[in-house]
Amino acid sequence: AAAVGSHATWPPATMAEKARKNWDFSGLDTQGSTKVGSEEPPGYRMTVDDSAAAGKSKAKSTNQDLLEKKAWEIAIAPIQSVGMNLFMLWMSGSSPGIFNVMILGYCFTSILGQFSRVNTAFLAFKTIDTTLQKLAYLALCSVSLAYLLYHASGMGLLPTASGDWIASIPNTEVLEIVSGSVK
Amino acid sequence: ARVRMAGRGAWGSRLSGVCVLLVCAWPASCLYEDQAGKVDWSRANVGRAAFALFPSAQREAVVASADGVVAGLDIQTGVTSWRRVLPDGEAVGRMISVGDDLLVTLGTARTASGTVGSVRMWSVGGALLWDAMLPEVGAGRSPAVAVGEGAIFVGSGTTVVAFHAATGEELWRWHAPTDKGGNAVIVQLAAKRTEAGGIASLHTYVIQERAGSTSRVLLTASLAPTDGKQLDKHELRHGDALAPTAEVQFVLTSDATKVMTLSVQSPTTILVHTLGSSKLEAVSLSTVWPSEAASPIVLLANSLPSAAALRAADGTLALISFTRAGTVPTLVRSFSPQAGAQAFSSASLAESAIAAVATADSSGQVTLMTLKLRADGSADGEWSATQPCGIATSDVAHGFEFWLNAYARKDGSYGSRLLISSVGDALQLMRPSTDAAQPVWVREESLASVTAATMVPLPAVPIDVDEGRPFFGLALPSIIEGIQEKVAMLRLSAEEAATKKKIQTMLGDAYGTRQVVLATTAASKLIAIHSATGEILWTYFVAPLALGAPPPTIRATFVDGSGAKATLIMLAADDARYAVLTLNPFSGAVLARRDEAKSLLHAAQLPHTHISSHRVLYLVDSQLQVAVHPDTPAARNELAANLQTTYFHLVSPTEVQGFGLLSATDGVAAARATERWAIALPPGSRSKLSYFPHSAAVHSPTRTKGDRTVLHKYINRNLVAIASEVDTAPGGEPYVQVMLLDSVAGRVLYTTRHSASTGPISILLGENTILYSYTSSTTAQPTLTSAELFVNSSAADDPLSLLLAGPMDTSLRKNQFDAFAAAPPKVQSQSYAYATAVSALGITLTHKGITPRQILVGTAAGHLLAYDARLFDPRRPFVHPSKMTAQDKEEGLVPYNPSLGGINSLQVISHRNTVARPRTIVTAPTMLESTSLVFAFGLDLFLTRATPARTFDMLGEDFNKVGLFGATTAMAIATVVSGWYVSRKELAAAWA
Repeated sequence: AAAVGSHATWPPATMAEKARKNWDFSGLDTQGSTKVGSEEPPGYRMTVDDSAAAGKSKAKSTNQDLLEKKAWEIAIAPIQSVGMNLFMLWMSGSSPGIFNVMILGYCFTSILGQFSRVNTAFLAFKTIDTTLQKLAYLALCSVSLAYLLYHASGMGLLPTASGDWIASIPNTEVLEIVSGSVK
Repeated sequence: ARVRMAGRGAWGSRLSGVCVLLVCAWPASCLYEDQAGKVDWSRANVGRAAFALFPSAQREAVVASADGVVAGLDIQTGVTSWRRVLPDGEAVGRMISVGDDLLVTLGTARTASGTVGSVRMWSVGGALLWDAMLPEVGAGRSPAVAVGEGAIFVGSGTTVVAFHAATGEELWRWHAPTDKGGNAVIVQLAAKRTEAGGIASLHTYVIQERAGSTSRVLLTASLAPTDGKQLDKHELRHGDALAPTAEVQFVLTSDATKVMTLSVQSPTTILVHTLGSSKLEAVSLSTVWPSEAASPIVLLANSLPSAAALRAADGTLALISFTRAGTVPTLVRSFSPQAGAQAFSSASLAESAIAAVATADSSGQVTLMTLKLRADGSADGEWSATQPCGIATSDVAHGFEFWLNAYARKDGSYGSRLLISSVGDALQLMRPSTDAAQPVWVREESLASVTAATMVPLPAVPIDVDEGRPFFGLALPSIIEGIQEKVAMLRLSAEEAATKKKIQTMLGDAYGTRQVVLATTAASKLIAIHSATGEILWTYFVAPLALGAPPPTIRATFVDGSGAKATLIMLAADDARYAVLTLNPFSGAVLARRDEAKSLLHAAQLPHTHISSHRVLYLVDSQLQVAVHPDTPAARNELAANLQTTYFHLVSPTEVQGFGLLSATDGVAAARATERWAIALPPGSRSKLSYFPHSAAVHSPTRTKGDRTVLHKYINRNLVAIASEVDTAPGGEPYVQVMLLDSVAGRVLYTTRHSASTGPISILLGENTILYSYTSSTTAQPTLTSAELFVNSSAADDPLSLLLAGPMDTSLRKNQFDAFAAAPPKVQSQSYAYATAVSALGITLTHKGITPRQILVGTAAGHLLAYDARLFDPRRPFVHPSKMTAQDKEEGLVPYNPSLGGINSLQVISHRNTVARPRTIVTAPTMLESTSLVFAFGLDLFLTRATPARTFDMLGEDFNKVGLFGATTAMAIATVVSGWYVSRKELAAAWA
């Protein structure tokens, strides 16, 4: 901020410049206030000049659509980010080697991180209802997690079989004690 | 290469597998050249000496044992110079020297076609020059022999064969005349000498048994030594006065003029035949022994010049000589029995002979008296004064035999040595000397007849002050103590250090590899051997339990307690009485002794309880009355508390009988035994048994497959595996039968039969595995069959059910194993061809049973091999290695191969040692989970450590401890120095 300030001091700004820099974006997202407070720049058109749908969509083509579109993009981000991980996992094979376990651990932390970032990721879209996007985000994260668990299970890292619970398999006790002699 | 670790679960094992993978390669049992002898020792035995010679060409005593071992022993040290172990089943019945540098052994050998006679010619250095087999054996007797004219004449059955002494080439053969349908046995050969030393004629003594009659005739035929032509034949009278053909003993005088035998009709008459005459003289001994109270008289086998040695039942010894023609014997000298044990021996010395009597008193002090005999049989002087020879092993007081080695000195006198074989099979050399304190050397040859072995860890500290204290401390205190002791050792003188080291070897180590091997022998002797050095720590000979009683058998040994407080309880029994001896296992000191005049049937320990610190022993006599040891009310109560769960069984050649215990009705005995079941073994069979010890640790009740589902092992310590080798009637097919018994209920859980198979058999029962070996009688292929037992149940074992079911209350009867109702196990088995005949099988046992097991195989050739137990896994898939499923690979299964391959020298853990005729392999755990002690015994002993997954819990011998210490120290210094440097720099920067 200090650096920006120092640039702003030279050349000395006029009052008009200062006023122009003092931008206000707060009115932009307000419903039905397209042209309130600011003029569209010359040559800027908010809507696509689609002759067929022009009449109907004109009203809906608002910033909200853009935001929703952006939110959906965020929602499907986990799949994109996990693609690399999946490739690494696939390449590493299914044997429980130390590197595979490390890669798997890395994927797990990244997926769990994504789970924990669900609210942060959609913080920018607080003006719209992002429930669906969040659900989709969580669903996709869950799919990734499920795949990871499946992979871990394939590597034998999950205690899902009875062979992993040997300690709880009871040992039959034989009370009788027999000894033998040769006559 | 992966190490298979049966961990707490596949999950855990995978993780630990990853760690182990980094430090371990494929577990190999091989060792480096410089490691040989570091963790193992071997001991080569000869066995009970039956014959001994002192060849003048060597400073050696040549000893032959009845078990078929011929060995040369250094006369100064007793060290084995050479040893030849004859093929299994061959017995030596006679050994004579030929000239100065040759030996002949004669005996019987077992072949596929039956028993044959054997003759072997040796050089005194132990080289076998030639041997020959004689197809006939008369009444199981060893062949008769005569030597001369560059030939060896051997009479066996009805045939006399002359062999060229140097080459073994057959020169001629003579057949004894036999009655039609009758039987003839050559019992003695005698060569009549000429003045020049050659052979005038060869005299053959034949006992003819007439067909359809019990009467026998003694014939003598003289043969020409050059071509075997019969010169004349005489039918001697008194044939009925001879002992049974198999036992009759003829003695030839050393001048080869007379042949003698004792008459069975009149116990004081000796039958004498002068070579060449046609009469058998009956010489009455009544002039020598006026009273018949001294009978029966025994004719000793010693060859004396024109004389014979006789011993009466009361121990009186008489040397008699015969007049050239007369029938009246002359008493040369006699010897009255003294307190202790006596033995007679003789040796020829130039023209004369030396007769000697050795006496051992109750303390083991041996004294010798000698008498010189002239060539005509008369005595040259009186018995010498008693010469002390020192104190021999204590068992000589209960009987011994000895061989005299007489040698002429330059001054014309003669010296002598005694090679004594005591009743406890200790072979020792003694020398008459006034200052002799002990034998020149002692060899414990009873170690050739070890019947059982137990191992007891040596205590870590001489006295355990606190009962609850662990005997082997954790690593750190031991390391510190070790360093302290090493520093202290540096300050000591060499002599003090040696003494200290000796004391230390008698203390246990942190790894528990120093143990006392308590070996029970067939010679009524218990021998304690140090497991690390092979040194004999002490021996204990059990004297006959009553005066004149037969030698007792050590029936069983039990260890009670642990550490320095461990005691050894030994049961010695003969047919009518038994003794319970309590000994200190580390010193051999007898702590207590209890004698009972009852015949012992069975003895066992009750399980350990918290009521008393000692384990109670119960003893069952032949009246099925049960006694307890120690006989205290507490011990009786303990037996009463265990009545319902204590069973035992007795195995005889024909059947296995199971017994249970009932409370006593008369109030005298602690309890009584009652027969519950009996199972007959196949008639005419020879059986071997195997148990899985109650004390052996089993880590997991399940076996995890490649897909991580589990198989439930059938683990029941009360199983008995019995392998029987059955010879059917002639013409029938021999077979091998294996039976698995639950010895509580007497149920046969599994049985299998291998047709057209024969012995030698050996069997091994593991925690849920059976492994046995036999030989196909058609292809002579040694075969090993393994079987694995699994629980035949459909109980839910998925993780959810296991979690929901919670822990099982094993105190409820329904949750315990019911031997009477449990379903028999599901058995999977596979067979493999093996390269050589197997004599003994063993399995490694470890502290917690986690380490994978190794199968130990003792071969008939004397090798001890260690195999990964996976090779004997009956689940080995029948697929090509390239088509193995991932799951089978994951489980570590090895694709099936009908052959186990040849003998791989990397698997021979006995490396350059030979364990001749291995009988049993005993294993014991150590404090290290990776390591198991393996003790193989037969004729020889061999002890080593087996590490099936290598020593994963111990640093390698070549681990760079200095490097590690140096690196750690350098890092610590670097940390301190860099910390100081940084803080200094920061301070300087702050001031700047």
